Amino acid sequence: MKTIFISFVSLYILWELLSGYFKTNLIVLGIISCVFVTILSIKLKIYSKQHERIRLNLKLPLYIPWLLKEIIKSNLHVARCILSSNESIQPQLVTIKPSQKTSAGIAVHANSITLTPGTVSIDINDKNEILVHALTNDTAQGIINGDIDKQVTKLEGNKP
Amino acid sequence: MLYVDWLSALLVLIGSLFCLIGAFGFIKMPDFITRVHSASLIDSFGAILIITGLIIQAGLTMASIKLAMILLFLLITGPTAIHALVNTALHDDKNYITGKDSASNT
Repeated sequence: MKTIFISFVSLYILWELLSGYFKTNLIVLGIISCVFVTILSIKLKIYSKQHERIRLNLKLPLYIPWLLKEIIKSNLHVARCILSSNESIQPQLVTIKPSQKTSAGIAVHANSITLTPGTVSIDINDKNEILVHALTNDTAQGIINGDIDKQVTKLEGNKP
Repeated sequence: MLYVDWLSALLVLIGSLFCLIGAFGFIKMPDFITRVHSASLIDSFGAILIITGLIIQAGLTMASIKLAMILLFLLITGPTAIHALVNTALHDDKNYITGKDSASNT
């Protein structure tokens, strides 16, 4: 019940942010559509326990600047590789074992890998191993060192 | 407000430069998977810099909130699209991933 209420309120805040008008008919229309979406979500069993949700926690403001720093660093690296000759790249495949427990944590991990240029997560197999393609030796080494892995595990916390 | 204009212009210019480098690499890179790498340059840093510049230009208005939302959604959907593309290539033919595809020469 609490989850349903929170999701209704956040849907309505989203509506207000996107419209930006406080007229009566628009407010009523917003409430009607938020109620409709909430009922639809209940019918689709989105609030049941089987679905893992990505929780907003207090460690997120620490994770995002770190990820931005990594993106900037590897961006400059990849830009240099593009502008120099084709011999400067060493394409290779790396398999890593993420230490996250929930599937949401693994999804965040794989998404962060793809977001940093120079590395692309290709596949996740049944044993939860991520197959990563790296553009150069440096970016591959960065993946093997597991900096992203540590940070995402910190973000995930030790919730059950 | 002059400095704000300069800062946002600088950010948009650097972002455009990175988009240009990404597009250049898209043509120059030898095979499929390395082209994906250079395209992700546009997707991450180009988008972040250009939208940050536009947010600074818009100031504290409704428009900047919407721009921030666009940036958030781009940062989530971009890697998802890249993953879908590369995963399809893997299941179609492993040679795309290992860089031995003959299609790259055409």
